[in-house]
Amino acid sequence: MGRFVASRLASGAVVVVLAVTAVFFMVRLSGDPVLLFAPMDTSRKDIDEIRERLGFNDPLVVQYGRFMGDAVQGDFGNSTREQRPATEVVVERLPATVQLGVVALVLSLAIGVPLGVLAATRHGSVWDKVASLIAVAGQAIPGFWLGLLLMLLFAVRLGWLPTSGRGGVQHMVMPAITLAAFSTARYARLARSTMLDVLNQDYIRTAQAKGLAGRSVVWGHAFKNASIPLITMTGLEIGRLLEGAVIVEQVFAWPGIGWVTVQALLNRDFAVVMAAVVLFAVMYTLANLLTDLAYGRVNPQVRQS
Amino acid sequence: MATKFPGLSRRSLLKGIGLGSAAAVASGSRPLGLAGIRPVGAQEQRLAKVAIALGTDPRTLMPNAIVDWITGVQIEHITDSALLYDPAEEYRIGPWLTTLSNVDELTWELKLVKPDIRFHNGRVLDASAFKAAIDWAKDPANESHYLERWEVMQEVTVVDPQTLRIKTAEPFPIMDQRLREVHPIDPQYLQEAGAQKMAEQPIGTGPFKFVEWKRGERLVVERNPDYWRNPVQVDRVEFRFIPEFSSRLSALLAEEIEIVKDVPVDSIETVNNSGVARIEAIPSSRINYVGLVNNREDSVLKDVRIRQAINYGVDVDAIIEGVFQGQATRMAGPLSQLNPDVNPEIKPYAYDPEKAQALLKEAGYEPGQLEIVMDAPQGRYPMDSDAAQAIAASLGAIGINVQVQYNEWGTHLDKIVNRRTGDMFYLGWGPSLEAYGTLAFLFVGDSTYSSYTNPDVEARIAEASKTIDPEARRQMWNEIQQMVYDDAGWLFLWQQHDIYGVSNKVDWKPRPDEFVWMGEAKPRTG
Repeated sequence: MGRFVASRLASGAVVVVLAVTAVFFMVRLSGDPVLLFAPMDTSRKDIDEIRERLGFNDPLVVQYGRFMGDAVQGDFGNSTREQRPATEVVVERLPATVQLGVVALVLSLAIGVPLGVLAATRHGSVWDKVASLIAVAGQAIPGFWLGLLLMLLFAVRLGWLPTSGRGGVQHMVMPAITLAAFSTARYARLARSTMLDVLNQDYIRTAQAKGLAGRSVVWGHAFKNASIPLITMTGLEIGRLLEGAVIVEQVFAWPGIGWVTVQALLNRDFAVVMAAVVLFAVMYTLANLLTDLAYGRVNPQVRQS
Repeated sequence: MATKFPGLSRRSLLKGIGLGSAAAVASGSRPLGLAGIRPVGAQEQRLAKVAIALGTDPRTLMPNAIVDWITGVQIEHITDSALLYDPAEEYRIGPWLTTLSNVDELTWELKLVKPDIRFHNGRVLDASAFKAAIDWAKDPANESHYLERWEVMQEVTVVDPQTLRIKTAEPFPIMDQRLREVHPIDPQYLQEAGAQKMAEQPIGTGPFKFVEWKRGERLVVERNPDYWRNPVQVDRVEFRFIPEFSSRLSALLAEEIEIVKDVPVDSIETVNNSGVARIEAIPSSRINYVGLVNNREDSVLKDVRIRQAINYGVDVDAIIEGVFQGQATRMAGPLSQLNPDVNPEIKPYAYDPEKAQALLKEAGYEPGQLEIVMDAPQGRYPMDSDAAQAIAASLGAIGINVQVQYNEWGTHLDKIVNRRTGDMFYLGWGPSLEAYGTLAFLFVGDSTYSSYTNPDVEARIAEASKTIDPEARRQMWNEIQQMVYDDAGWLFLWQQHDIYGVSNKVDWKPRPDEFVWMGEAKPRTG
């Protein structure tokens, strides 16, 4: 097990380095950051001086070497916009993003999986059609639009919930639903199709023939096997939730990493972008590692191999 | 019904928005700067809270560090500036914490308007606080944006507790512009707390005291009951950070916030019909123009006839009516109609497509022969992408094929500065309430933001920039504007209108200098 974890961590580190390298060169090719944080009436001479001081005049390879040297020590440099360490800017937003992501993941699992199982066990019924409709809508409606729609209805029209910001539970409702919508739909679809496959297996018929209760057959026998692809998808879904958080945090002014990353990209605040990318990549890698471990736990064949 | 400000003169424009000097005269004497502040008696009602939605956090709360509108708006509730644009004087710079006088061509003096002004920590404000602010910004280690701007202040001396003297190496007629930016800092607090703490928990002499800054969420300030002018009528101001405009508008309509800036013209009716908020619009001193690149070897716009044809060939008034629903004010030359230094003799180019076509023909181009790329930003200025498209269509009608290239803002700036735009580009500038900040920055050799070069104009600007006598300087600025206009240096477009959504509970009027200040807000009655 230890070797397995070590090998996954090593390949995760490679993923992080590759992601960071790609983003490093892409953001630097996107334009001059100095023009965005210096006032427009700054003279050409001063702009050149700032570029020189911040090392933007050096060849890209030199900048990359310097960045990697500092980054392995946890130093991503100072945010050019906020003039404080980029790590600080990003890490202080982490709890908000994790909170939103975890709630959205739990919500999508709690709604999507039972919905899919229900649709499979009541195949062809009204329940199945309703579940399919919800699944299609959840995947078809863009998060941005859904968020604004919820805001107009529950905050502006009905006044039940605050429009935006982070605070009590009521602040969490709309961002979490918006973020969870897509994942809920995916879980529902996957749970339905895998359950339909499993429910047609011989051992299920045997269990039913033995006279086991319907609930025991569905959850005790069928769902256990159907859950393996769901676990695989959860690893991928964590990545998607991080990606979705970028939009949801913008719409609901949720002070997380997604929002700060978008702002940093628009401001060409390279240090913050890089710190955020590293954090995203590490979170994604760890989520996949946990998925693999959980997968092995459910399926002994995987563990043995 | 949208508020419109059709082609008015500067004075009538100011009168029209209730800020003209006539109004100031009618209201009585003008003791200290802003006419908007009136004595507040104990019996007067106050607003418990005003929340203002902004797109993002301030970059810092350290005064004299960053030139940035969002940062400045928040800091200026906590700290006062030495001087201020004065609505009672047609937005010329007037006294605030200090008065300004020049002893001779190279020496200026700031004098405190009152001896007993105090910082929020109770310490008395004196001239050393202004010196501390200037010294801090001029220290390269602090990387202040004001380092370059205040380089001209060569020697700064505290004459006595009430007086600060500033010497320059050569005549610098716009010293008032630079001193308007100075916000005094308590030198003792700076020394004790350090710049880092000052940047997070500032103190000042302003109408509001710092309470809390939750990054990414809100900045809260509360009423300073001992404010040196008169305590204001708002107990608490919250700056809420909401990056998405639709969400800011929703927050206004849900009555969570009281003020939101930059309402798009197509949302004006929604706000006005909401029953909870209204639109307050004002012509801004920020201008929009199209740069006509004449200083690049390969540019077809080196030919003045083509530049003039473009000015005659674009129906600017129709674009203002059609795209902006009247929410923009036509500018004639390179300065806004609100700029005290605007040349009132200059009238906008008339829309004359025949004349435009004749000029093109004279320059050797038949209809359809000339192709130009115009770079435009998307979402930086009100209706910018629609306006760019309308300009292209207008020019298409006279036979110039314009291909609009839309850019993300950072890319747009990058292309302009590195001269990689097409021969035309769309840009805004300001807010600007004096000539120097526009003419001397945009029409000199190394400024790519206008990309128009004229050695005669440059020579005249150099002369005007060193002329202390206001009347002589005004004549020179007038002449320069006329030269740029005659030479069709830009496609002269319009002043933006700043369109705010304001809660019906709040009585507050916007200002053309974009100073969103709750020192002037009060409960709305009736």
